[in-house]
Amino acid sequence: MPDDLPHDAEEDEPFTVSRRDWLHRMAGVSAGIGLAAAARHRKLVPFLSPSADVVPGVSQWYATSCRECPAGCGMIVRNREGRAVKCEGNPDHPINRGRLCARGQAALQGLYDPDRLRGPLHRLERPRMKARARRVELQELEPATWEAALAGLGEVLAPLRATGRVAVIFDLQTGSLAALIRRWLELFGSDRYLVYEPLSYDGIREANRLLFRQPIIPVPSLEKADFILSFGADFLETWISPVQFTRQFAENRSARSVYVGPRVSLTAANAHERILVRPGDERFVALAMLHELQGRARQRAAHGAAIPDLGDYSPDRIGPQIGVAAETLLRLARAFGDAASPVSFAGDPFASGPRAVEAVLAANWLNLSVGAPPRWAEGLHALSEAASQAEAAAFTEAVAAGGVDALLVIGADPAFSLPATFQEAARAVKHVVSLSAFADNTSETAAWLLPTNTPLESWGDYEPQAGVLNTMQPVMGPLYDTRSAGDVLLALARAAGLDPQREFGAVTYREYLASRWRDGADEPHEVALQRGGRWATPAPPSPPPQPRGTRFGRPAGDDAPRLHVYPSLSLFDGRGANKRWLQELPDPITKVAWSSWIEVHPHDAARLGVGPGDTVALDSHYVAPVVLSQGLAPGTVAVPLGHGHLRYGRYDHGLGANPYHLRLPEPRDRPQAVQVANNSGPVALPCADGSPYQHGRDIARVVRASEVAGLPRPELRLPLPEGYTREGDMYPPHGHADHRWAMAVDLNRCTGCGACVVACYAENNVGVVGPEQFAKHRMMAWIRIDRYYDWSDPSAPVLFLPLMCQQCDAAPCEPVCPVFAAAHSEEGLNMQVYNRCIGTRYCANNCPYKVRRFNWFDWEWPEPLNWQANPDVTVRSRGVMEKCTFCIQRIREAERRAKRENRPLRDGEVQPACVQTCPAEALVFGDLMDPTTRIARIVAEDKRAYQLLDHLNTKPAVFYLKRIVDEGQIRDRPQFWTSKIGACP
Amino acid sequence: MPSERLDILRPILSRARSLQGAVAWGVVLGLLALTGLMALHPYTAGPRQPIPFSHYRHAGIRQISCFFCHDGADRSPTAGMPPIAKCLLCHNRIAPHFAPLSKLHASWESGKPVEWVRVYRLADFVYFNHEAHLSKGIDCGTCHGDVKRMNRIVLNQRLTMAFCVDCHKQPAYKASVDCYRCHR
Repeated sequence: MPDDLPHDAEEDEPFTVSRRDWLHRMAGVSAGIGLAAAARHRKLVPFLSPSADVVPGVSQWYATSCRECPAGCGMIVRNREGRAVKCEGNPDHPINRGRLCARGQAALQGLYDPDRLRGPLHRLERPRMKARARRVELQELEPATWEAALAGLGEVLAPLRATGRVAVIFDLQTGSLAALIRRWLELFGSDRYLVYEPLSYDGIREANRLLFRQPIIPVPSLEKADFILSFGADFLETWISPVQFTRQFAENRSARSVYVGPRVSLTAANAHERILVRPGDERFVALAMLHELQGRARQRAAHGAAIPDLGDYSPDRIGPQIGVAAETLLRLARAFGDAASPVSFAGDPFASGPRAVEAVLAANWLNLSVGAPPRWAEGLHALSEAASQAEAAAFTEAVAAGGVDALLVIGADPAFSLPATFQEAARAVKHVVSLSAFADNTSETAAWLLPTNTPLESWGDYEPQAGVLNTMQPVMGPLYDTRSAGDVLLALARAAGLDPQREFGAVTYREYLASRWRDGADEPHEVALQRGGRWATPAPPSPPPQPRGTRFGRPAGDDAPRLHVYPSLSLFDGRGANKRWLQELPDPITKVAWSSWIEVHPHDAARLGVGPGDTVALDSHYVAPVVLSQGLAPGTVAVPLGHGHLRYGRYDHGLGANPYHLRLPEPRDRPQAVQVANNSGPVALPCADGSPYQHGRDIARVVRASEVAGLPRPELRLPLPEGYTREGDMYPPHGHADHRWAMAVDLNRCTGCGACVVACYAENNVGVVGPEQFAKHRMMAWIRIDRYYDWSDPSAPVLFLPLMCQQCDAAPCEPVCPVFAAAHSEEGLNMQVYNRCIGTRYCANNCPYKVRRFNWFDWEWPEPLNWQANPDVTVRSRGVMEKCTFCIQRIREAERRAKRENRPLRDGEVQPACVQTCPAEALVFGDLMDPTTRIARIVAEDKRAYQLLDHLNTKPAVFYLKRIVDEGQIRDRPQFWTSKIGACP
Repeated sequence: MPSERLDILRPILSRARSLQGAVAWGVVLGLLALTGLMALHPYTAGPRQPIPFSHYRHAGIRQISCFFCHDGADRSPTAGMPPIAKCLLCHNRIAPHFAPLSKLHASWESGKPVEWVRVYRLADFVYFNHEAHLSKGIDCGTCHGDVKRMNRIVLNQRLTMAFCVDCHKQPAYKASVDCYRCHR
């Protein structure tokens, strides 16, 4: 036996460490861990040198552009002590005017994704596709330095100069980065690049090419329209520029809105009227309307000649074939024709092929036929520059055919959304380089993974609409050893033996940007940077030339269920899947979170023999549980995009399925049908739904449009001393010091988009519970959106009700707390004092609104997600009750500001996070004690005001304004639970 | 026998009584002298810091304002610690070769800030605002004691809720004792 081995180890005892030793050592280790944690809090660490704009304890705001979808909203990001902690809309930005959607609010979680790449990685050998190859591949990835990466790639790229054997795929970029990439490619003699967006709106681009010879994606305006007709365009959720449309829609709620499409989406739920047709049949509704309006259209000299022959598309003929009554089509056509300023638009972002193109053609013809002002094209969107699916397929083929030695993929994740042929083509390329902040599906084939900064750490610019140039600046320093894509390209050029100064006029990307921003600007670029961009009035696209005649298909008489794939409100095209706030945000209609699903109409479910929760396969690719929904056209199955990443961090790992695999080249004559098979039994979905029905409790109230003016003055029980009644109250009246905070929620403006929910998570350090606890209804959201519907009457509105703590004046939670943790503040708020709370949960049991949340566990904040935590709000621990505080920290901050400036608080100065972000501006917050405030005037004057469960005399400080609905939409008798509809059994 | 033993000890005890008196007087006088000296001399009782920084020398003898270093106190919820660069602003010229300052220079050169030991620590669920208190004219010393006389900062006052509320309840301050004033 060699001497250096521990002798007697085998003979005496199997373990070389005795139990006693082990205990001793572990005690030491745990004490060490404890001390280390305690010691961290006992240090005061100063800056090395003072920063001009950082005062510890005071927030700094930096303007940049949101890049969570192509809409390009302006964003300002709050930075505290060097950490970005909150995203808000840029109030001056013309697109979103200070508002952000749920995805924009969650942009921070991409920045702080714990699974981000932290430095360059190198795959030592090309992966071999064999069984069990994945494990091997992962092991082959080795950390590298930037120097090694650039040197290695320089050797690869140097011989490729001016050979044309280099190609680039990048996500939608306009302006400087796109220019830099094109110039970079030129130096390699190549023009092979693909501007890849998974949702490419092929229908719109192709239809406008056919009609006007301009392959563009215009931006419609809903601002002055009086009739909004959408053919399957979900403009309140994801379509082109949703925050902009939501604002316009909410401001223009008196305009009649009609949605024609296969599924009750959020947009459909908010429309006055929904017409459900199977996927691909929307165009026939438009054509039937056009047929009816043809007579009028012929009188219009401008376009009359080119109007297609629509002899076969009379409402009488078309109606029965698509399952819509001919009278409905006629009524719709006349209403559209009679409207002073109607607008119609279409454009399935996912589908391509004739179905998508013809829907847009027909919608455009409708616009042209009534000779209305061109509201359907008031701006030109950057999406026009993205490649179509056909172009992506052609690019893939070209790569597969050889001739490309180096393929750079910047920002995009084509392997997730393109067919498997892409991955095969990429494997044929010698050197695939992935420039992304994340290890995504595409990086599976990459030899080099060069981590880039997230947009929030980057300099840049983006022009979402013609005339709207957003500038981007880092809102905090880079978290890891990452670089911006522009800098990597410049460094690669240098490594390949090119001189960046000569070829690009700059050595760093920031210099390159500055030189571009200086060109033709009449102000220093720092001014634009501080503002967030340069915004001229968006230039409308040039007037369309004479439209050309077009031909249309026929309704198909097939029977198989047709597929409808739609971008998820929260995960969008899939890029939101690594953000746990978005995973935890329930879908507004199905209320499912953390999972994929398949929506099936109950009739089809019965025919196919599947029930709610059954796990079934579509075309054997897409396996997910079934959600029964009557908000679907019969003969349709609907699936959301977003889940099913092979690699995109821990939060989408093993969750759901990827419906991109269902995107096949569409048959020319009919929409895509799917096979439903392989039922493998029911599972319980994580679902936030309680009951879809109100059970007669009149929670979300509505009023007929004609009755609004004649409404009686509502009997409100004000949360003020005057709300006291001898017979109703047990406790004496109480006054308030200085303020009585209150909120109004206009249900007629609220679209149920969930931006407020995510904003609250971000502002208030709300814990994320994950799928298992979510399924047990232990989610922690302080504000939720309850959804009520009554599918038994298709004309009944789908109602959304944002529900947060009502800050009752006679709060049921307060008297039951044995330790006075639930107490009333001098400004009328129901305080929850965490350090008093002992977790009896009596308060939650006594709350009629069910808005209190209990911390069943210490929720995880994996590094660096904890960096995002708002330093002004306590992170609650296990065993403590919590709830909405009306963002008390924001109230205190505004009060402090006013005091410092020696003035009273202004109305509207205090904005809780939900109010601040609401794209529909449905929420109003203010002081009820001051009669001049907006909230006080709403409460005093708006006859739609009511309080939730007011018969309980809790005197809530949240006032809801009834939603205004069409005639005949209110059911006299509430519908009770009749069948197993919805995701939650 | 106990009584016998006492008898034997009596002379010693009587002598001790006078000795005791002398010792007692000595102690009293000594304490008085110490108190007098303490009034002239700084405390050194606080926790040891990585650099033996003396508030007595800076704020006491040299009369440097608190806000020169803790410049967040009148504009931010947190008073803030001076950046290393600010220390060197003076100490590049004043006593640059003073041995204990070598750590300061080393910190600047290595880019690793000095980690001071925290003396005043508030619970995580309490939110105190320096600016709000200073703007009401409350002196730093109300909580932090006579810093000018401390070499190493001493915890003058444990930051208990009772200590906060005692002041907040005084009518003169017109302060609130609402939970949401400090807890959120």
